[in-house]
Formats: sequence, structure tokens, C-alpha cells
Amino acid sequence: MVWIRRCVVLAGLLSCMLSAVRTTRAAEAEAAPVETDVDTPLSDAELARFKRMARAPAGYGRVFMTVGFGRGFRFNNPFRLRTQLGDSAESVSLTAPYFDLGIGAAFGDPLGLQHGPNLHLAVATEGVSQQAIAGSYMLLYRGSSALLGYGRLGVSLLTAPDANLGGELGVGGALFVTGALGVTAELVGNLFYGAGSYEAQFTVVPIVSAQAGIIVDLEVLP
Amino acid sequence: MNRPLLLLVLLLFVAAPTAGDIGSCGQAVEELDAVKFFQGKRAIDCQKCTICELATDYCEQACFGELTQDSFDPDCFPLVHDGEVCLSALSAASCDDYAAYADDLAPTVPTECNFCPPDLKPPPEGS
Repeated sequence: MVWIRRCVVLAGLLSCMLSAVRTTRAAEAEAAPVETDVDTPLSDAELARFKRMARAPAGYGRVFMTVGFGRGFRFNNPFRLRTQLGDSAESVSLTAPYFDLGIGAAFGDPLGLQHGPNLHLAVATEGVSQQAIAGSYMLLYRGSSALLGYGRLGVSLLTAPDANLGGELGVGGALFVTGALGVTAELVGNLFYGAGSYEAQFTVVPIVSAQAGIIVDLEVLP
Repeated sequence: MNRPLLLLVLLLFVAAPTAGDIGSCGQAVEELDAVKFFQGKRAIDCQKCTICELATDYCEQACFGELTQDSFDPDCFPLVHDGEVCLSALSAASCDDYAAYADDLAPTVPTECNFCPPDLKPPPEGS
């Protein structure tokens, strides 16, 4: 029985020793530095490959179309165009309601600032026939939420009854109800120089319009 | 070109907010010729009366009568663009609007044709 007890004690000691050796080796392995060949320069091909892998994916963009209706306030009305809201030509007047079709594209950070061209086409829906084409450059922000905000700056060309060219500044936003479909609203400021009058060689006609509608937004992924 | 495509092209190229008939930048400040204006107005009046089937003395005068007005009020000096704006507005008016313009008892005047409101324009220099 004595020899059996000696064997058990010996086995215990051996087990402890083995365990201690394993722990020491693991600690050494953890502490040992990884051998890397840092001094060897990368080849051009490898460098190009690494750069390519590290670069953010390119080719992201969005294409969108808006359809809406709007109406504006005219802040100078020397020719008494309808609809006058006050008694005199200098009073604020309402422009004709208009249908607006917009198309645009934007490029940049998918979850940040984007920019691109934008084209708006509008047709007066009542009164004297008039069409307007606005080309502008847009800066927009689309984060991870369903909201999109933008501003655009450009020119607006009136094609009828008389041709005229004015400046246009728009600020708007959209709330998406699905990934691609949303509602949009925009505030547009225009400045036109109209026909001359007895008071001025050319009349300055500032207009502020509000429009609302639907936006269809298609993302182009890299 | 088929019709839908033509409509699309027209929409794209003949269609931003509309300003109204503000005229062209640089259009000369030129006094309106009263006779030419009233002749043009009478033609539009008659055309509208016919289209809208209005049978008033105003319409009869426009279509069959002599041109009775060939000058503006003494202190009224409208510009050529005033006249253009007025005639465009009359041409674009609806039949309901025109019925009011051609009413014999209480005719109305579109604001675009109200050349000489109480705050009169000053006469051109040298006139």
C-alpha cells in the first residue's frame, strides 16, 4: 500500500510540473515578438495592391427625380401682374402656380456631403403661358437617417412670353418613406431683371417660391 | 417622332419657378401707341366673345362696331410692355373672367390692363 501511495504522490508532482511548463511556454509565446520582415521594401505591384485595397470604394452616386407644385411671392410688380395682394404695384403679388419637374445627380460620401448638377423645369399652370428652365449645382447631405437636405445655386431661364435670365437659389429637404421614395419641399429664391419702366432702366423682380412634391431617389453603388 | 416622345421633349425643353410676364431685361422704355393697342385689344375681345359665346353690347361693339377709343386718359402714359402684358392677360383669360370683363352693367378690368391706377406713373421726360 505504501508503494501505491508513493505512486499517487509522484503522479501528482509530475502533473504539477507539466502544467507549470505549459503555462511558462504559453506566456513566452505571447511575449515573443512576431517576426516580420519590416526592412524588406514592398514591390510596386504590392504597394499598388495595398493602396487599392485601402482606398474607399469609388463610383458611388445617386440619381433622383422630383415632381412637385409650387407658387411664389413677387416682391416688385411694376406691370401689375396678377395676383396683387396689396393696392399698389409695389405691393407683394402672387405668381401663377407652377408644375415643377426636377432631375439631378450627386456624387460624394454616401453618408455625408454630396454634390452634383440639377435641372428644374417648370410650367405655369394658369394665366399667361410661361415656362422656366433652371440649371443649378447642388450640395446635399444625406446621413444615416431618412432625411436629406440640400442647397443649390444656379440660373433660371424664362422662355416665354419674353426670354429672361435670372439667378436662382434653392434650399430644400426630403423625408424618405422608403429607400427610394420620399416627400420633398423646397424654398426657391429668384432674382430677375425685367423690362424697363419710367422709374428704372430695368426693373428688379425678386421672387420667393415654395414648392412641394415627391422625390424618387436611386443610389448607384460602387 | 411619336407623340409621347415629342411631349416628353417639349416638357423637358420648354418647361424653375415662373415669374410672370416681367419682360426682357433691356427692353426699351417706349410709350405705347394707343391706336395699335386698342385695335389689338378689340381683336382679342371679339375673339374671346365668340369663343366664350358672350352676347353683350360690349362684345357686339368689339366685333361689329367702330374703334371708339384711340387715346389714353390725359395723364396716362403706358409703356409698350404695359400693353403687351395687358393683351397677353386678356388672351389667357378664362371665359368666366371674360364674362366679367365684357359685362355691360359692371365690367371689371384685369389688373394688367389697369394702366392708370390712382398712383399715376410720371409722364416721360419731354412729353
